[in-house]
Amino acid sequence: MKFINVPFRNLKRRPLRTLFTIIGISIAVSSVILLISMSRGIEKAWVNSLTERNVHMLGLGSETIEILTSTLDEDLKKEIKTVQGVKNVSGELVNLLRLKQGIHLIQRGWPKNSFLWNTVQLKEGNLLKPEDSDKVLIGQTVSRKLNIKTGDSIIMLNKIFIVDGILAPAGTMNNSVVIFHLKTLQKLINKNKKVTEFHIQLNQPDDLTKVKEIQSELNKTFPKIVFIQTKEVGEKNDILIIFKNITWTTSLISLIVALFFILNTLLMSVSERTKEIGILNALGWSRNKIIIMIITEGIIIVSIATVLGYILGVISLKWLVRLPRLNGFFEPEVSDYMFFEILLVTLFLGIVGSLYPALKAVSLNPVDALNQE
Amino acid sequence: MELISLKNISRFYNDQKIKALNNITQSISQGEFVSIIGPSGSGKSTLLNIMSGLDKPTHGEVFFKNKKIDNNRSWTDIRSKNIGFVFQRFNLLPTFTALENVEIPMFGVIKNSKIRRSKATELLYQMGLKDRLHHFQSELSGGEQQRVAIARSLANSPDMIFADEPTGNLDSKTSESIINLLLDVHLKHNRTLVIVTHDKEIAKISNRVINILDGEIVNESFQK
Repeated sequence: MKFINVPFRNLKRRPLRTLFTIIGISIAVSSVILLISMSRGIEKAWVNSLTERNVHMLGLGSETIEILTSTLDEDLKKEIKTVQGVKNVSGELVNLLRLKQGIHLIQRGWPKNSFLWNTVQLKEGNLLKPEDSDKVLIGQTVSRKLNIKTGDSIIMLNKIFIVDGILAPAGTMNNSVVIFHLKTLQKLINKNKKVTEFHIQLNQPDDLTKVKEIQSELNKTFPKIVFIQTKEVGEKNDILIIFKNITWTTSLISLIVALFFILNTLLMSVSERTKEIGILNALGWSRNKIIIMIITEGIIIVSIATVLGYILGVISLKWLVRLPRLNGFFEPEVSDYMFFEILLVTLFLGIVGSLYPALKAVSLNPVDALNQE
Repeated sequence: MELISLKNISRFYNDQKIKALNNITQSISQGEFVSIIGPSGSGKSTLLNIMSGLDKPTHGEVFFKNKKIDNNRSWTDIRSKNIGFVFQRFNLLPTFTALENVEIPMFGVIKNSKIRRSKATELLYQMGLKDRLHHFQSELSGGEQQRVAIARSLANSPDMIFADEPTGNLDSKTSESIINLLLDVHLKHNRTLVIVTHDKEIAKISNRVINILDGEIVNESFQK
């Protein structure tokens, strides 16, 4: 018999209790995986939607909390373009729309001469011509969900638009877009001469020092706009930050619940085994060996629970992204790295949760322990 | 050579209202067979617990091989390597088989699990439990459980065996065979044997009998 068999055998002593503890912790772990991958997925989807368009920097209204509420004069573009190091600037008007069919999509309006048009890859159809004020391009997900192809029509805000092209498969957000000419969208949502944000391309995007200098110059010159690098968008968006905070707080609560599961189970187990711990003491087992035995029990529980929780989390996530209202808005990010991150946290919790029962066990007077019935 | 010596040992409980042991000075030498006798509550088991470091004296000093022992770590080490225990209620671990119960004290002393297993098997064979290796406590009779406990007490080849009323829960026939086993261990392996007992027949076959009453040694006799 190896030492590891001892804690395993102890856990098998009350198989149902061990099983329910594992299930409880698995659920906590899966909810953590679900929340964190959703939070990271939304951020990732947004960053990807920008990198796919070759955007290096984003300019948003400095006093807005949520990107969609940002309203800027489209004419500012000319002034931004004059800053040294800026290669291209394009305004973009963004709107989120829920169709009568219950499908959510992202409407984007680009100026006719925007560099953003050059980044578009089509699966079928044509790019919009300057005179195409009643035509739109649609993403893969929109096409699939509405079952429409090039040449079909789509009704948005009581107006009929002709689909002139379908975008090639891209990141989740870009798959859920409908692209208009800027003027068309401005008219459709009553935002004449306004844009939501400015997309900026730089001459030397890989020179990080230069990028920071340009960012600082832009922020100084345009105090009503906040300029952020593409990779920073998740860190600077207040709504995402709030969502992340909610995610982390909820995850923390779940993990604290898991901690108490371990604590409770092992405390009960130790109090049931008072006499046995006394016997081990009499047989020459050191305090450390008894502590290691009980902590190993905690580690076994959390390790099995983490694997199960991870599987449960991934399955739930796959189900969640298929929900029509969520599909197309985030790319859930689950990786081996994330599994090890969670495992590290749960192992820590397993050790912390079993430490008190372990210390309680070794603090017993051996004679009292041996005399227990 | 003196294995255990006690100097002026007292053990009081409840703010010194109960005197379990009072100023005891005694020693146990290598190869002895000592019986500690006395009525219930006289302090026999307390004396055994203090000799093995399971309990701490209120006053006095305990020496093992002439070295004063006053910390848990040293006692744990001594119990692990030099002392084997046999209890009245056998005290086997119920979730482990007979073989595993004998292996348990060897963790930390014998590193190789195969050697642990082969030694435990050999000890159980010696106890006549060849067919009971993989049985759990609940599947063994009282006598068989006590044989497993004796095998377990020998796991780390200790200098001494402490047996606290080893026949207290057994019928007379089984008791006899258990005592014969312990005697065998004492004689063949030259192990020091200290038995706490009510049984005067057991006391008769020991080299020395320590008679305790109300926490004090009232009589000590030597026999051949």
